[in-house]
Parts: sequence; structure tokens; C-alpha cells
Amino acid sequence: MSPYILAILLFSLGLGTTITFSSTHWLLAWVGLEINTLAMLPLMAQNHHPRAVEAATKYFLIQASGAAVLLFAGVINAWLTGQWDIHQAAHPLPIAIITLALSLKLGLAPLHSWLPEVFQGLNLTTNLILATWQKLAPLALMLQIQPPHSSLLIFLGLMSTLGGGWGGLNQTQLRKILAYSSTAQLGWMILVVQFSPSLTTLAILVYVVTTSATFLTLKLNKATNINMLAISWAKAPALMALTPLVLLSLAGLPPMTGFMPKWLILQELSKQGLPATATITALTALLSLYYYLRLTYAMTLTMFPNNITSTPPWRLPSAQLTLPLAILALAAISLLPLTPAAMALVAL
Amino acid sequence: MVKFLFPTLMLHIHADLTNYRLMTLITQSSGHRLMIAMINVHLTLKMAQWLDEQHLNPYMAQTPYLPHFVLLTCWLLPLMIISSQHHMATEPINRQRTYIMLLTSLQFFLILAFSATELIMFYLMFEATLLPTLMIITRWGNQAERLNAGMYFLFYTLASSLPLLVALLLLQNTTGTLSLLTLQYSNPLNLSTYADKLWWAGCLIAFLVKMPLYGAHLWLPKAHVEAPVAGSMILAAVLLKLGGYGMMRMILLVLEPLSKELSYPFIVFALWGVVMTGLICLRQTDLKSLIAYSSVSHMGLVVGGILVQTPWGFAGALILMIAHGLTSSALFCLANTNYERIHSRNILLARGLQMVLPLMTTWWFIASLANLALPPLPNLMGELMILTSLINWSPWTLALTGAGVLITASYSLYMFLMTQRGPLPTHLIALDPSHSREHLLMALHLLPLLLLIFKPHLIWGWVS
Amino acid sequence: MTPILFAFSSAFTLGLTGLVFHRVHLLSALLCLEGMMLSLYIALSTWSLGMGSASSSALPLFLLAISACEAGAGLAILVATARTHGTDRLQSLNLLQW
Repeated sequence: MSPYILAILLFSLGLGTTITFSSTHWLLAWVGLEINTLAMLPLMAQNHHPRAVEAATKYFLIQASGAAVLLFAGVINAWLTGQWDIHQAAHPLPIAIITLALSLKLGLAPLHSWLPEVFQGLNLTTNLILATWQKLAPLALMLQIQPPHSSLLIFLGLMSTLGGGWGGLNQTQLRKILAYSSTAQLGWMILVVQFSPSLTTLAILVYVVTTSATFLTLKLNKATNINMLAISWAKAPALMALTPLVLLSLAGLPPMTGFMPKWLILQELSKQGLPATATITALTALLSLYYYLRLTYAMTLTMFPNNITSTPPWRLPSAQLTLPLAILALAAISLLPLTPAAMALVAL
Repeated sequence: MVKFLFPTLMLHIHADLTNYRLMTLITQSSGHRLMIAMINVHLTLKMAQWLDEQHLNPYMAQTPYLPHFVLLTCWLLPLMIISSQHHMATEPINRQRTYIMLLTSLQFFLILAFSATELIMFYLMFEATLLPTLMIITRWGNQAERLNAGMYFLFYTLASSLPLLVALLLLQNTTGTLSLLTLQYSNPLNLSTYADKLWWAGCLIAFLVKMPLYGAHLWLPKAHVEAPVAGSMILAAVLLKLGGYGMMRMILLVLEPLSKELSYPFIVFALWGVVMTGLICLRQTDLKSLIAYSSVSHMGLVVGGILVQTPWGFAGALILMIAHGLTSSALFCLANTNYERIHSRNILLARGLQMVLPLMTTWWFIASLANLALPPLPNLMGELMILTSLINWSPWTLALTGAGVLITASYSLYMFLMTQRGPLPTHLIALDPSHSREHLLMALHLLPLLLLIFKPHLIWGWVS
Repeated sequence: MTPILFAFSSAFTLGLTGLVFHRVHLLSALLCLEGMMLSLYIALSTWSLGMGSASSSALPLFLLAISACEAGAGLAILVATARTHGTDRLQSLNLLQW
């Protein structure tokens, strides 16, 4: 792809999300989402592989219908209450429809089955954009509508942590595993969105950092399934020693950064008088932990047999830029001591 | 506390920068750690003057039973490095460094866990110890089953301790604090509803699984059997004690009123476990598995002692935990010396070793006797105090604990007789002689145990 | 519920139902999407007519412009699918299950 076209597409991606961020009008929010989708499609289908085209088709259908339903709910809201303001969407019916449309766009659990398939068809760079940047715009809308006392959100959150954990158990494809992991992580954020929106922001920030580190690691090793990951110890031994920590940070095991949002979310839930929900959510995280741990096993904790010619690549300098990966991986592992600062930010 | 945390952190840098052979790395690293342990011994002896008080003392803001655990950790970690020497000898230098750094971070987390004054901090460090231990088990274990063992270890602990996190957060909502310093002055909780009983269980089950209580103990023999020697040592000696320590903290601080009735089934389970795991030991052919089950059985007594909540119960549990930490770690080392020579954990393949390793037999003798709680040893002191407090709770427990003591003696002797006495099988003629490293290791394990006979006051905490 | 609200709501719902339940051809899915968009166009234009505000009378045109772009992208995808899969039947889009 020509760099000019690539630049235009990437800028439009940024533009779409920014429009959604800064909009107060439902139509403008919808325009932002549409621009976002339209800019993403050529990036997805850039190499004319049947799998990429298929992924782009599925992504297009889901995102277009999600956005249409969102706008429909906005119109209904306008007809019922007479105004278009996102913050003042007060009627319960449009709010419920909007929540469902946004969870379709985000890939939350009962509406998540498109996500693994789309991930599976794309290369890792596009996946990285899809898993991080593309989540921001719908999540920003979700933060703004703030449905009060919504058991729908609790349901979506629980289903997502459960479905994200459950679905990934049976996978050997790394991209599908990461798709399910993204569903599970978003479930945590959705659970707490009605109680403490800033906590959701913190959670998505940590999620973006850890997921980016994971995707960049996979990209460096060109690994798309567990077997390819298993022989990657020969390509980058030091990175492979570090990656289990990144993965377990994604799973939310204590000494790593990933525990911070989970801890604060559980705290918020128990503060709101939902200890049972908190316990169930925490326990469903174990399902996700299982597949992260399996990746860890394949990658670092066992030495996969490798033929002698493929062992020396780690001596050769890599052509890929590794500085972002280094910074992100470090941030994904070691930011837990900054929790008091994060709590202060959340309390703002 | 920085006095030993900072040197521990420096060990990371040391392991990374030492550019010599394994021998140098191990000698320096363990020597360094022993110095940390010595600072710790010094501090503990200094703290002995506060042992009589029930309050938190000025050093590390700790209750009387605390310094022993930190001391145990600092004492055993260098021994783990010494014992791993043979296991690590064939590995490349970078992996040796990683191994030593893992052990160092484990020590770091354990010190922080035992000296945390905030319950959430304790929880964090409690969980943080999982990761280095998991890596030691699954990366440096020997058989393919180690992966399964690692899964069991991680998932048993996490599934039981995530409710603990929620329970702690709920406690924070009711009392407004989780600091141990202020929590003891907060109003007693009014626990009456069904949900409160669940909360009580959430607070304790994490530690009961970690101990482990009979019924939730399946992860332990697996992890012990599959772990390399250092992993088994740290598991038996310190990580199980993390459970006991946490139970003491929680029961004393917050769980007081409900524990009287609710602990009933857990005491029953623990005592039943003493007998059952003892019986399992009697028919065990795997040496490490035998020692692991014996740990479960001893920990059953500790659980019983803590749950009846009398000063004698607590003191006995404390003494037994310290003594068992040293004893079981020594037994795992001995099992490892066998394994290094015979390359099997099977008892049937390693018999009559007195003929070839006579001095080792002495260590086996002392360790087995310590395991079965021979009179002057602190092990007996702990068991007697627990037994006494249990009889005070209900005379019927004597049936279970008495049988337990008898069975413990039988399988300890069975282990000693099977491995050491009798004729030497013909396939064991050309064995390595025992190294002075191994003798040093055993001496460092058993001398503290023997010396504690003369001043048990140091470890009995409550009874003064 | 006014008749117009009912009309565009049912039109939209019909379109959505067609998209969700009648999954045979990609082209029909695109047509359903277009139908949903047109019902929204009617809703927007009648709303601004009803409110009589000049500032919101441009909204339907924005909507039309963006949905035309979307339809264009959809047709492009249709072409790409036809070229890679040889058909536009949605059942043939099954490569990504493994």
C-alpha cells in the first residue's frame, strides 16, 4: 500500500475516533463511528487474501449494523424527548438499545462471536489497531451515556468475562485467543462503567498497554498459533523470558500491572454492595488465566524441540523496531506500585 | 526492614553481574543470603525482649509471632541455593542466573508478605509468591507432569484466594481500614447473617487451601513431587507457613466471634486429615510424595491448633510450623541427595544406604526423629501443646490425634528403615560419596532445630 | 406513538430483521442496510420538519452522504468477495473458523 494512502487511512482512523470523542450530538457520534469503520476496511483488506476480505466483510456488516442501530436509538430518543444530546439520553428504551449496539461494536459477550473470526483473518498489526484503537470510540460513548442501575450492564459484563474465558479454552490460534481475551477484559470494564467511569478509563488504559505489548511480541516472532510460539525461544530468548510476565499481567496476576484495574474494579463492586458479582467475576478470570498460562507453558516453561538450523536466529539483529515493545512490556509488568497514583487519578 | 530488603534486592544485581563459574555464583549468593539471615537472627534476638507483650513491637510493627517467619525465610533461601548446586551444574550460566534471581524475588516477596502491616499488601505479596514458585516448579522440574502440577498449584491457590480479596475489600468497606495497626482497635464486627458466614469462609479458605487442609490438599503432593529440590524446600518450609500465618492474623484480628461455631467442620477435617494422610504415607513408595503427605498431616495439626483459638493452640501451632519448616526442608534435601545418586524417587530402589553413605544416615536419623517428634525436640513441644489445647476443646479429639501421632511415628521409622537399614542392593555399589556441601546443608538445617531445644522461649510467642 | 414514528421504526426493524435472519446473499444484506439507512433518513427529515428548526435541516443530508459512502464501501467489499470467493453467498464466508 502506498504510504500516502496509508497515511490518509490512519489519519481518518484518528479523525473518526476523535469526532466521536468530542461529539455531543448523536448524529456526529455516528458519523465518527462510520468514518472509523470506513477507514479501517481498506486496512483490513489491503492484501487480497480471501481470509482478509472475509474478515473485512464480517467487520463491515457488524460495524455498519451496529452503527445503524445506534443512530436509530438516537433518533428514537430525539423523537421521544426532543433533543439529541448524548449526555441527556434519559429514556430507558433508547439507552438499552444503545448499550446493546455499542456492545455489538465492542464485541461484548452475547454479541461477541464475530470478534475471533475477524481477528483470525487479519495480520497482527491490523489486529493491534482493532484490539486497541477501535475499542476507544464505542467505549467513550458507553462512558457518556452512563445508564444508572443497569442490570443489563452487569449481565453483559459477567457474560463477557465468562464467555471470553470459556471461548479461549479450546483455541490454539493466538489471534482467536487474544480476541477472546479482549472480550473478557472489556467485560471487566463494562461491569464498573455505571459506578465509576474513570475506573473504566484506567482499565482500558492498562488493557491497551498490555495488549499492545502482547501483540508486538507476537509480531516480532511472527507467531499466529501456539506451535509457532513454542519455537520462538530460539528467536528472542530474553523476550521470551519476559513475555510470560506480560501475559500473566493480562490475566491480572498480582505483582504485575494488570492486577491494578481488577483490584480497583473489585473494590468498587464490593463498595456498591455487589460482592457476589465481584466474586463471580474474579473467579471467571481464572478461565482466561488458564489459556494465558498455556501460552506461557508453550513459550517459556518448556523447551520445545527445535532443529539445529533454526536455533541461531537470535544472534542476528532484528529488522523490526523493538523500542515500543520494550517500553510497553516494561509498563505492562511493573506499574503496580503506581496504584496509589492511579487511585488518586480515579478519585478525581 | 530495609536492612534485609535492600540486600535482597542487591542479590538480583549480584546474580546478574557475577561472571564466574557456577560454584562462585552459588557460594557468593548463598553467603550473601546467610549474612542477611544473620542480621535477621540478630534482630530477632533483640526483639525477644518484646516477646512477652501482645502488642505490636517497634521493629517492623510486628506481633510476637512474626519475626520467626521472616527469619525462617531468610535462613532457608541460602540453603535452597546450596542444595540446587548439583541440579544447576549442567545448565548454561544465564539460566543459573535466572534461577537465582527467581529465588531472590521469592525471598523478597516472602519477607514483604510476612512483614506487611496492611492486609491488602499481605494479599498482594501472598499472590506474588505464586509466580516465582510456579516458574521454579514448571521450568526446572524434571518430568512432564510438572506442567500439570503447576496448573494445580496455581489454580487451587487462586480459586481460593480470589474470594479472600473480595472479603478483604468488604472488610475495608465496613471498618474503613485494612491496616493491622488500626484494625485491632476498630469496633468488633456484628456478624450474624448468612452472608457474614460466607464472608468468614472467604477470609479463611484461601489460607486453609494454602496450608493445605485435608480435602483441598491435592495440589501439594503433585507440586512437591514435580518441583526441583529448591521448590520442594520452599513449598514445605515457608509457603505452607504463609497459610498458617495468614490464618493467625485473620482469626485474631477480625474473625473472632464467628469462629467458635464455624470452625467446627474445619477442625474435624484437619484432624481426619492427620490420620488419613498418615495412612497414605504408610503405603507410599515415592520418597518425595511421602514427605509431602507428611507435611499435610503436620499442617493438619497446625490448622487444628489455630482454629481452637487458645493461647496454647497458637503457640503450639507456631512452634510446630517453625520446627516443621526446618525438618521437612531437611527431609527434602535428604531425598534429593538420594535422587542425585540413584535418579529415582522410589524407596524400593534406594535401600540399605547406611552401607555406602554412613554419615548421611546420621542426618537421616536425626531428621526422621524430628519428623516423628522425639521428646526434647521442638517438634514434640509444638505437638504436645496443640494436643493439649485440642483435648481441652473436646476430649474426643484424642482418638484422632493419638492415632495420628502413632502413625506419624510409624511412617517416619518406615522411611528411615527402608532407606537406610538392611542389605545393600547390588545395583547401588558405585555411588558418589556424600559431599561436604551436603553435610553443610544438613547441619545448617538441623543445628537450629537442636539449638532451639535449649531456648524454646524464642519461638513460642504467646506462652511466657 | 405517532404514525411517522411507527412507520420508520417498523421500516428500520424490518431492515434489521432481514439483515439478521435472511442471510443468503451479501447483496441482500447490503440492501437491508440501505433500507435501514433510508428509514433513518425519513426519521431525521420528518423530525427536523416537525421541529421546524433550520439548523437541523442539514442533518438528513449528512446522513445521506455518510450512508452513501458506507454503501460504496459495502459494494467494494461485495466486489472483493466476489473476486476472492467466487460468489456472494454468505455461506461461503467460512474460512475463518479455523
